[in-house]
Amino acid sequence: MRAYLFRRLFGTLLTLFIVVTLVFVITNVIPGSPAALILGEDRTLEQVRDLDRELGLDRPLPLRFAVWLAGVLTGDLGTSYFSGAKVSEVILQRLEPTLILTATSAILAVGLGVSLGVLAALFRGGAFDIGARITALTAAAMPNFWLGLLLILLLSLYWRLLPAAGYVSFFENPGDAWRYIILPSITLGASHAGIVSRVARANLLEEFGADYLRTARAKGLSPWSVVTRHALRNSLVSTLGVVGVTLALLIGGSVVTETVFAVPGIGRLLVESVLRRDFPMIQGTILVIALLVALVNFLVDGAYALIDPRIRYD
Amino acid sequence: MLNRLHFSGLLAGLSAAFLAGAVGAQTELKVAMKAQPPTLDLHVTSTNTVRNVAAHVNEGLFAFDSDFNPAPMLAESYEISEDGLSYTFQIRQGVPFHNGDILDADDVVASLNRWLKRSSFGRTLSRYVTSVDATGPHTVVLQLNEPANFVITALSTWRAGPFIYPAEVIAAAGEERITEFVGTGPFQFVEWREGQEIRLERFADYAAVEAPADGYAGRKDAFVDTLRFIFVPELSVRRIGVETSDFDAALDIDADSSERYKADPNVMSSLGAPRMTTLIPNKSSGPMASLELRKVAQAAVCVEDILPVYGNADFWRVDPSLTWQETAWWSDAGAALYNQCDPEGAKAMAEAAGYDGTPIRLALSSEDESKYNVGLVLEQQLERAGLVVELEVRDAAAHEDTLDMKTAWDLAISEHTYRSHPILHSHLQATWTGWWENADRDALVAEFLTSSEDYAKAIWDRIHALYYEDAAIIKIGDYFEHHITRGAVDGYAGMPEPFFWNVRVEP
Repeated sequence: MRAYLFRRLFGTLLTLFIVVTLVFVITNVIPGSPAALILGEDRTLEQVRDLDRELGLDRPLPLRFAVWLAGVLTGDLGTSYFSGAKVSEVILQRLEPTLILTATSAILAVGLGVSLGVLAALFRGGAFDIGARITALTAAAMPNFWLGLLLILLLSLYWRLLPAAGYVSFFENPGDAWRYIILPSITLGASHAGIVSRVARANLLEEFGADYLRTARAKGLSPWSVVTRHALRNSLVSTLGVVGVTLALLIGGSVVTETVFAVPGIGRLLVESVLRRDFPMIQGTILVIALLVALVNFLVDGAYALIDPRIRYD
Repeated sequence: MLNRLHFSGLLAGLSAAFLAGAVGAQTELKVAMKAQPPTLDLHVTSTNTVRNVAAHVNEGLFAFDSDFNPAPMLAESYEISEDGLSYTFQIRQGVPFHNGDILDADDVVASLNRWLKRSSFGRTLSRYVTSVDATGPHTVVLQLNEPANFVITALSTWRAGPFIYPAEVIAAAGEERITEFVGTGPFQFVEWREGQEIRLERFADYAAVEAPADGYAGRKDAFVDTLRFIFVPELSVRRIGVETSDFDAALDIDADSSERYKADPNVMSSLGAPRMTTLIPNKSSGPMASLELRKVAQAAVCVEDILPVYGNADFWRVDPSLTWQETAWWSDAGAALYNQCDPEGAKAMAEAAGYDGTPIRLALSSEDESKYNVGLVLEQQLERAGLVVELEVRDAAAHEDTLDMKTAWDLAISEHTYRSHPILHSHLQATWTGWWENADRDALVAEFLTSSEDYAKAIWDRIHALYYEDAAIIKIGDYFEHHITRGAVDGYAGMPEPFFWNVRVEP
């Protein structure tokens, strides 16, 4: 197990290095001037040159990369070209909304998706199964931004039940915070719930045909016990793979939802930073997102072993 | 008895607390804006979002009144020497900064010197300035090397304007941008939640100027306790947010939505600043360096087919002037060359000029829908005149970068924000993108900036005509920003730039 962990850690570090190197090169090579955006429409070339010097953009690319990498190794991700704030502090601030949104969406996607899939498999061919499959397909196919705007129209504008946009931290005002997170969570989680539901249903149906289940039934186990103790547990191993991918997609894919609902998360930070060429912020954000995805994959691998005792990493 | 006394005492206490709570209830005004500002340092940028927020925190020596005449703000009075070379400003006394310091001449000198060095407009004025000195605790002298008629106007501007910061804030910033947002304004900076909002609070010790509120000038009162600028990128959500009372105001709303608010008492629709759309030829290199080809483009443009991209007719107007109707500098000199709408004539001119079909690169930003649509219509109009046009669409950062490169583009669409004086136009400078080098213009501008006010208008007309003769800029038309407020918002001024002092929100 220790050897496995070491290999895994080494692989993760190598992946991170490749990711940040590629991102650094790509973001610095594509055209775009942060100085021009900061200075606005009345800028002169002289002002742009002065600001480039202030931001260190007049230095050669390899030198900038070496300085940045040295900073990362000492825990310093640099400062934003725009606000002048420390990248690590900004990311920390904007990680909270994304993690809360991802967690609530994941609970919705996994909880609802697995339940719907399992029930659909149990009642295969019935009205519930057909209804669940149509719902899952619709949810999976519906574009995020469209669902978000639809929910805002219905629940905010017409029924005045929930706020249209914004974010309140759970740590500051938990009583109000939940009102702001419901619509984004449904928007982000719905399509993933649809996918998880379809996979959970298919996996469980596949298990139903397995020999060991016939044996279990022959031993006289109750249908409930056959499903919950044997079929469901085994089907979850394959479902868990999809859940792992779903979590990774939720972290990286919250951009649209965060933009529609004005949630100040890390996805929106990344898009804003790319659009304004805030290089230190882009590199720091990608690094953190890559770290989170690696962490999720690592945890999912661990969960495999917990669910299926046959899986060992020695 | 004792219990009853206790009970009534408790009731009285609760009632008092309730009343106190009701009377002293915190009021808050929430403004939804499209994007967060790149900085709050007012000296270094002319970006709208910066000014929209930071102008509540910082003030200048002067501000424009509703007729766009300069009026004193932190300056109490000023005198100009007979030779026109020396401006002596008396600074108001007892004006506190948000950090508790009291404004004095040193703060003004430090701020003006930084502004002269860092701001695009400051650099224009700095060519005429030899020194800025404090000659007393509340006296500042600005010395010029030759008379200039635009000093007070330049000191009144909001765009990259000479806002006053404490001297120690300027010193702490050094050569970098200011990160301590301290001013003398009616609101003080509280916090900037990255990507979420900027929060300002009423400055209890604010020293208001003793003059009635008038435009951006006069008395400023913070009638709400908290002013929040919330960043909401999605247009429809900004709009719905005002309709549902989640926001009190929303900036930069689509013009088309104004129709639905005409009959809605809960949402007030207002025209914001008039803006101007122009086609900028690159005069330094490429095909458009040729005056003949610029004239072809000028003759081909048909503005009535372009301006509807800005919405219904309330939101745009056909106007040849490169200075707005709202100012004293409106001009129609050279207007015969505006909106010629003559593709056949333009085609003949292109042939006569020996145009060989070299592609003309029209640079566009994909992030600005109106500019993009203007570009699409213009492409058709220029091609009808026989020009081969290649649209080059980039995101904003790449587009702006392209505009700073002299050989990377031939034509570009520009949207200019409102300015009250010609000197505030960046395209008047040869250093601005498009690089209009013209010795006649230079001589006229020098004369314009140093002439008497009466004569200046006549010189401006000559410069204006030169813009048309040289096809330095091809004017398309004016259009208006659109902002909305909740019906419960009272006192929102109809000035071009949005501000929220003297504004109340009914509970």
